Amino acid sequence: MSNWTLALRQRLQRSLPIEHVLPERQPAYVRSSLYLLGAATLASFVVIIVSGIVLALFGPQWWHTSAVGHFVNSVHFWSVQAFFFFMALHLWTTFFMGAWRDGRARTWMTGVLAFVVSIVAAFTGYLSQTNFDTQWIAVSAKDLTNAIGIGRFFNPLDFGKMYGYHIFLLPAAILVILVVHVVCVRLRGVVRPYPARGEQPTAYQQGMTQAAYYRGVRMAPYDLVREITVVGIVVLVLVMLCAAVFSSGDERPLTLQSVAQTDPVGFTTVSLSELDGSSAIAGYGPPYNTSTGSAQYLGPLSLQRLAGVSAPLDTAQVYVYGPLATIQDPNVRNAVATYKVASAQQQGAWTTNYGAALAMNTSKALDAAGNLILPAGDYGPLPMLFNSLLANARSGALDGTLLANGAFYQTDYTQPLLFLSERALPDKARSEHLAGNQWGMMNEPGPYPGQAWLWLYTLWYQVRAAPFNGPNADVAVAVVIFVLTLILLLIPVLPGLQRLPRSLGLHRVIWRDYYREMEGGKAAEEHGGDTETGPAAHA
Amino acid sequence: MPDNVPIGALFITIPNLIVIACMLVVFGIGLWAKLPSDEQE
Repeated sequence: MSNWTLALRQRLQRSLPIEHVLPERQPAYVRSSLYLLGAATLASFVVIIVSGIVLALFGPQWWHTSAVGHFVNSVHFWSVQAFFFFMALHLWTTFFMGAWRDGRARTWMTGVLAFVVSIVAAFTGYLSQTNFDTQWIAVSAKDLTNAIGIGRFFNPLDFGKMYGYHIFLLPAAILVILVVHVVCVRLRGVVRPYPARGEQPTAYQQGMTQAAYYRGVRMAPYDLVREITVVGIVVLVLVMLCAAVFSSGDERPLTLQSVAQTDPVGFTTVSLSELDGSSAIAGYGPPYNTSTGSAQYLGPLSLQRLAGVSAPLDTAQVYVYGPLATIQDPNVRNAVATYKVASAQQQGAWTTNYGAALAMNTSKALDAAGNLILPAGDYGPLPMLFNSLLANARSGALDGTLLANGAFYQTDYTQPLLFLSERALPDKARSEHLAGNQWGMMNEPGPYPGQAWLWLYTLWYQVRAAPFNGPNADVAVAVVIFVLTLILLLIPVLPGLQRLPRSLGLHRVIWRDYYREMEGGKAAEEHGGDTETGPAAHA
Repeated sequence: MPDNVPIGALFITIPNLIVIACMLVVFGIGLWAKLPSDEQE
């Protein structure tokens, strides 16, 4: 074939005739309302895209500060809830139908792929909210991405990167997958019910036309466009109602300034641990440093350590020395110099004494100069260091310092969020039922549904048995989820599993009219003029 | 998230439970409900 255009056109005409794309007749069993769930999923996706475009056009400040912006944000939130709601139901239904049968494995697989990519898209959406929920999800998720060695490339703490994934790459991927999925559905048509008792359907053959495939099946009038339109309107109204009645959560994020103001002792305690290297981040390991505290292993293999220290972070320099260097005060400079030239033993004595004094101080009160009120003791230059750092943080300057990277724009919140992840974020998350042992990221602050679709992921963190309860929990959960996802994807070719729906028998309820007709014997006569069977007869 | 607890201490928020309950209800309705037919046209 020398003409590529002609070849493509002929191939499209042959494989996807317009009467299959827009059918006006379908098998009568398609009258079940369960067949609307796919259309409802697509309708929800359209609302997601439209509301997402509006949010992207006006930006984060708009949806945080204006009533209209918050409403559109709520529409976006509820359309995502609707999308997963209908998609999960569609997945259940097609599973019980064994919808991958008769050459429809590709349809099933693209559907599963759409589900998986949608979960990642929603996840990056939660990371794009720029509120407290975002902060907590980011610091929780970084342990998983670091554990499997992709923390540098896919850094949940870099909101600029997550926003890019969320508003372009992932929606584009979902759109492409959904188009392929829908084309697969129209190309093959809906699957036939499992054979009725005594029924001898024509065996499926590769390349079989729909006319031949549906031979013996009663066909009925069908209006695809009207169905999609009605479902779309219903979904839109539902989403708008939920947004108007229930709104959506948008809890203010924590800042170093707010933490230093509300809990100066806690802030200083964490700062001290960053200076003496006893903090969780100082002992975390890759990608931040060479420690091994949070390095995870899969057997003898640590992808986290293999990926190396790709985002080096010296906690003393980043959280103490660096910010103090921005303060133009000779007393502060002298205090830093005094601490640095002291022996390790002397430094240890000062930090131990100072830490003990902080631990005994349960008051949040400061003196008139804004300094922590501690009993007299041998703390060396530490009071000067940490009172200056506290004042710097309380003024808001530290938030800016930790974001500054030498460029004009900053979107990577790794440094401030790692600091907040030591104490302030987990404390607040626990009070909001968001901790790892409280189903964590699946929940949403406030009276709102969260990412319920993550239940299978968060479930494993609740298991008090190795390997899910231990230092390698994130890797273990990642492996289990990968295997389960692979099984879901490959159901059409897995012996046993591919036959499971027939054994479960729910298809007898879904297609009960079909079975009544086929097994009743006289069904054809009872339907009078509607006895026409198969598109071939119609044609 | 290493701080795990026994299964007995599981905690799902009420809103998430409501969503899951709604899914079951919609699925149940979907099993029985039929769409209007144009077969009489």
